[in-house]
Amino acid sequence: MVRFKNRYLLCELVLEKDCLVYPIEQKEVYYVVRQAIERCHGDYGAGVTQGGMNVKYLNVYTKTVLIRVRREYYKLLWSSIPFIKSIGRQKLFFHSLHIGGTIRSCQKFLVKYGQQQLAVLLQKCKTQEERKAVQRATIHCTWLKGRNFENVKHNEDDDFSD
Amino acid sequence: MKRIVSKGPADYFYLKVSLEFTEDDIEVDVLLFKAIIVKALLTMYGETGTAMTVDVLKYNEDRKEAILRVHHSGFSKLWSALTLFGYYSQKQCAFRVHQVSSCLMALAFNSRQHMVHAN
Repeated sequence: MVRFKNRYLLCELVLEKDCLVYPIEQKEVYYVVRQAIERCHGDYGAGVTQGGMNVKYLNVYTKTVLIRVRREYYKLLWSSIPFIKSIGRQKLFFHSLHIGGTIRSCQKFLVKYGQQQLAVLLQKCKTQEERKAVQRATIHCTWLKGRNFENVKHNEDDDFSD
Repeated sequence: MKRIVSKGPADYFYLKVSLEFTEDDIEVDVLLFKAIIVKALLTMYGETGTAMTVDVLKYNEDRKEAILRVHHSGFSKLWSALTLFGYYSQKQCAFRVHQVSSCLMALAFNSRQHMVHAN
C-alpha cells in the first residue's frame, strides 16, 4: 500500500512567565522548529523533514502543539525539539508529551493526560472554590467516558475531599 | 539447522583524501585541515554531525593529503559531507577521495596511480 506514513509529535509549551494566553502563530512555531532541525541536523535534516513537516494544531490556551513529520525522520524532529529556547522574545521550552501515528491517538492521549493533570491540580488547589471547580471538571470528564456514575448526583454540597 | 556467524561491519573505515583549492598558494596546516572537515560535517549534518569522531592519522602539508579514520556508523555521513563541501572562506575548494578501505594496510599501495607512498 503506497501511502505516506506520518508521526504526530504532541508537545506542550512551557513559558518562562506563565500567562493565560500567549499569542503565537502556527508559522512562528514552524520556523522555530525548522531552525532547530537545521542547527542540530544540518542541511540533510532540514531537507529531509521539509517535505512532510507541518504544525497541525496549536492551542494557545492549553499551549499544546501538534507537529506532523514523515515516519522515517521523526527522530530528527524529536531530538531537535529540546534545543528550542524561545519563540520571538518569549522564552519557553517544548515539553514533548507523546508521539502517535495518527491525530486520533494523540487526541486520546491528550484526554488521558488532561485527566491526570486535573488530579495534580487538585493537590495544588489553595481555596475551596478552586477545589470544587476542579472536582466538578474531573466528574465531568469521567461522566463523558460513560462510566458507572448514574448514582452520583451533581450536588454543590457534596464534599469529595479525601 | 544452519548457523550464520556475522562479524558485522568493520569497526573503522580509513579514507585517503586530499583537499584541492582552485588557487595553489593556500597553506593548510593539520589543525586547519581538521577544522575544515568539521565545518563540512557541520553544514551537512549539523551539530550531530560534528559529534562524530574523525581522526587525521597522517597529514602531508605539501600535497594537502591526509589519511582519515572514522567509525563505521559515521562513514557514509563523512564521505557525503566531504563530497558536498565547496567553499572555505570564500575560496573554492574540493575534497578528492582517493582510496577508501576498512583495512589501513590497503592504503599503502594505490594501483590507480601506481604509487607506493612510503609516508
